[in-house]
Amino acid sequence: MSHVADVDLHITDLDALGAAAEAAGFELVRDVKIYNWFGSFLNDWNDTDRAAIHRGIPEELFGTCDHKLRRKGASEGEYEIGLTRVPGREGYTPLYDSYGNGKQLERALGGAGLPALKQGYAAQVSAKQLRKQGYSVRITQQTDGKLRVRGSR
Amino acid sequence: MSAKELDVVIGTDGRMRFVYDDDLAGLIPAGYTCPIRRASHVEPTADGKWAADMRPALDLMTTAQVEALGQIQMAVACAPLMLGPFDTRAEALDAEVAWLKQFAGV
Repeated sequence: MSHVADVDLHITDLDALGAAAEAAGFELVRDVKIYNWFGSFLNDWNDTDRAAIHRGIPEELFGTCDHKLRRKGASEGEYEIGLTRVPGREGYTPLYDSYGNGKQLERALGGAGLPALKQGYAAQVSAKQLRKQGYSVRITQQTDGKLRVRGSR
Repeated sequence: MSAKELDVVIGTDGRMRFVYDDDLAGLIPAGYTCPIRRASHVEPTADGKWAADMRPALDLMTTAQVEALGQIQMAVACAPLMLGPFDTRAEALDAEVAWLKQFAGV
C-alpha cells in the first residue's frame, strides 16, 4: 500500500533558495537587514491575496529582512525581495513591494506570490534530497505548470 | 537490485506532493505535521494473487482529477479503482504507483 505526502513550502535552506534565485536571474544577498521597497506603509491596498498586511505580516516588519534577493544587474534603489523571519511562521517569508518597479519582481518570478521562485526552491530542495540518497535527478515541467522532479538509481 | 524511481510533484504554490518513501523523508520539515495519507490497499486475493484497491486515493484527488477518472471509467466500461490480479505483491505495488502518477498527479 502507498501513502501520499503533501508538504507545504517553508523556506529554510538558503543554499537551495540561492540556486533557485540564480536560475531565475536573481542573487541571494545574505545577512542584510533591509531591502529596497517604497519605504513607508500607506495601508491603501486591500488585495487580500497579495497585500502582506492582509496575509498576517506585521507592519513593523515591512522593509526589514534577514537576507534578500535582488535582480542581477539591478539599478540603484530598485525594489528587492526581503527574506524575513515572521513570528509564528516556519522559515523565511518573502516580502516585497509590488508597487512601482516592484511589478518587475512579480513578472520575473511568475506573478503574485512569486510562484516561479517557490517552485524553483522546492525543486532544488527535492533534487538535493534525492541526490543525497544516491539518485540521479531530472526536472521537467508538466503541461499543467507543475514541476516533476524525478530521481532514478 | 532493480532500478528505483521516485517522483516529487511541485505545484505553483511550491507545495510538494509525493508517494511516501523513506528516501524522501528529509523533505518533511522537522517538527512540522505533514499530512501523510493512505492512497491504496494492496492485499492478497482468495486465489493467492495480489490486488490493489485504489479507492482511498479518491480522497486525495481534486474534483477535476476525479471527474477525469470518471470519464475514463465510462469510456472503457471498467472500474480502474481495483487493480489486478497480479502474480506478485511487487507487481501490485508497481501498478498502484503507476496509477497514482496517472490519475492522482503524484
